Amino acid sequence: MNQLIGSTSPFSEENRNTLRKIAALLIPKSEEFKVPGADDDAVFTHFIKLASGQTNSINKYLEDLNQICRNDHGDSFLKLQNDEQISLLNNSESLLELLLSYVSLAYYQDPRILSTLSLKSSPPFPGGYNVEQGDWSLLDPVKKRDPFYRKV
Amino acid sequence: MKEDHVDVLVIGAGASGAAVAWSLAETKMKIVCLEQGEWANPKDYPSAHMDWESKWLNEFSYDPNLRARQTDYPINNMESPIQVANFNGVGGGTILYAGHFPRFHPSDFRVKTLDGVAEDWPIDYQTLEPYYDENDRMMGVSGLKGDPAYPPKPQIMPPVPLGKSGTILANGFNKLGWHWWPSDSTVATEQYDGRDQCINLGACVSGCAQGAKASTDITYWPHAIRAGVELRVRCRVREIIVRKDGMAGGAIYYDGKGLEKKITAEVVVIACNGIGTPRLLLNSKSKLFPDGLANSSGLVGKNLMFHPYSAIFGKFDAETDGARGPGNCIWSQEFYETDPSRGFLRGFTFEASRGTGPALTVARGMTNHRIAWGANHHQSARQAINKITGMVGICEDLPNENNQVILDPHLKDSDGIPAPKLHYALSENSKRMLEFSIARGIEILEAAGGEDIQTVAPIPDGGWHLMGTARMGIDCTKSVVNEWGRCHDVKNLFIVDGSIFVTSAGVNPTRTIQALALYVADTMKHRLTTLFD
Ligand SMILES: Cc1cc2nc3c(=O)[nH]c(=O)nc-3n(C[C@H](O)[C@H](O)[C@H](O)COP(=O)(O)OP(=O)(O)OC[C@H]3O[C@@H](n4cnc5c(N)ncnc54)[C@H](O)[C@@H]3O)c2cc1C
Ligand code: SF4
Repeated sequence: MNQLIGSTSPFSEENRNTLRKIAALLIPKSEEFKVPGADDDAVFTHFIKLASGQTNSINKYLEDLNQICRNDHGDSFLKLQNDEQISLLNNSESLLELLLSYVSLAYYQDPRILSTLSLKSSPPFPGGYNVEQGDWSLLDPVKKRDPFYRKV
Repeated sequence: MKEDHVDVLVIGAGASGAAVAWSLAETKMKIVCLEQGEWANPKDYPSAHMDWESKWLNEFSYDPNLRARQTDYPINNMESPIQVANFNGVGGGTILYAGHFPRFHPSDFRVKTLDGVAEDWPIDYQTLEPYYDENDRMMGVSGLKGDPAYPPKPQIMPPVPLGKSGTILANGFNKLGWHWWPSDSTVATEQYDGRDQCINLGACVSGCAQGAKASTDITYWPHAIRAGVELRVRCRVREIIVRKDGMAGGAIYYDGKGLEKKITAEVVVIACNGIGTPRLLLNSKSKLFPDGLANSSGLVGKNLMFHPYSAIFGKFDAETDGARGPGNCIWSQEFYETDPSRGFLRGFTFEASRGTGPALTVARGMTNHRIAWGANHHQSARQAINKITGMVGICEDLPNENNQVILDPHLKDSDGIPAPKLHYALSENSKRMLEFSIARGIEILEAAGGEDIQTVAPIPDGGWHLMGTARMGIDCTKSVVNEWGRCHDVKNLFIVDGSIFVTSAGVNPTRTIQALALYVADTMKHRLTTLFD
């Protein structure tokens, strides 16, 4: 049994480590954009919270992934080289489909990441945003049209 | 125990329940409204939280099966390509609605006469016009006078801003010479009746923390309650009671603790929406009404109409609004009225949608392989965030008896009440209209300079508009309620929600649902002494 005794995590330690590695592969750290990867502690905690709604499916897909790793490479996912891990992930469509949305939701709601995108790094409310009126003269040609609703 | 007896029992505190209760309040009758959900607390709305985008997809999801609160009931959508979207609580669907607020057109009430399809309504645009106006004042509508797609209508507040997305799309429409106009919207662009003005949070469909969007918990309900209506929350009605004389006698409901309660009434008004109302009527079987209440026509639950939606979005070099600003922006009714050369009858409205927040943009982009994962991720995500905009096409759905709500033989809500099950298929007319709307939408986006255009039809979780399942008409064999909302079979039972629609038109329904509710209430007030004749 690899479920941690006393842990409230829906994932075993090994699966958490695998998920953290996958998160870093999906959204890696970037020096160029000065951003952490999705394995960053705060992002990863949020990711696990979101993913816990699909614990059973994710655990099952991780088990399948590790089975393939053992059959094809004789080792677990975590022990493989980066390029081998990437190629395996590319073939794990169902797992990716689930994780991509959780990873991106967790990453792009982190205030630090939003700041690097020059976006508001606090909740929309209060404060809100400015939205410009725009150029209402664009409506002039439409205003010239005769009414075209059907008379009954 | 003291008998719980009222003059008027309203069931459901959403868009129509609020309007009917407010209007009837001036009679000084004793009015109680039972609502299965609770009052919303704006502090809980996602936009007041950092993780607003994931909260919107989970606890504030518009899919009741996903949201799965105690106050929700499950819906079996397995046999429908479109899933129901709703909210159960004071305000009903208006808590999560976008606030798009178009009126029907005069032609929408005459589809049989004009196009030889479905049925004409027993009332017309002129009948509803004063109630549209009254409802506009109560909800507070923003918009611009002079839309050539409509008969003249009043302007209450200035329109929502064009913004970056509206400007891009307006240019596309103009290049093609096609109609567009700022959308009529219940987003307050100025302070209005105690509501603050919109600050462009952009999260309207997860509840407006600013209180700028007109949900009925902050429009009609405070007025109705001040006028003496009692609103009881966490009261889920199981069935309408039938008296020996065949009249409605009140309701049996469960309170928040799951305790069974009874309330008796002289008049019962149902406002549970196009799914909740047929569910309640079908659950109200008795010796006198073995097939469900008010169902001698066999039409309760039948003729379910959604609006099949298409979505057309593209990427632009210029910045778009993303999630900033109300979802409401501009609309186009270039293809609204019938033109048989298009290969379908009736028509649709395009409604521009500004864009989505960064997290949802990337989540969608990554799952549909348009945003890379791995080494190129950051570059690729930056090319999508606040760079996408587009529109949805709201297609008129025509009534078809095979599209229906029945009771699921197994599925039940948390009080053990049988849940609804849908049977729904897209008609050939809808499929052709969806295809046409996508082709025209692509042309608009291309004219506006868009690329990498993505389309969806029908939007699978887009069952926002629930109509037709207890329709109105003069002939009691072809309709459930008469031309003023009274059930043909039960003379003190009224229905005021979207289920009484005869046809769906090609626009969002709530302005018409509420105008109808006010019209039914007004007719009741004028006929008080002969109400049951
Ligand atoms: C995400 C979203 C976006 C939308 N956007 C728009 C838009 O932009 N424009 C537009 O016009 N429309 C929009 N709509 C649709 C709009 O919300 C509905 O048309 C409108 O709310 C329907 O009004 P109604 O009175 O028929 O029912 P509802 O507002 O759904 O109210 C029904 C109420 O009855 C209660 N109820 C049901 N059964 C029972 C029972 N057995 N006992 C007690 N209470 C019960 C429910 O809890 C609910 O509160 C949107 C809806 C959603 C979900
Ligand atoms: S955009 Fe305006 S109406 Fe919509 S949620 Fe924000 S403040 Fe409310």
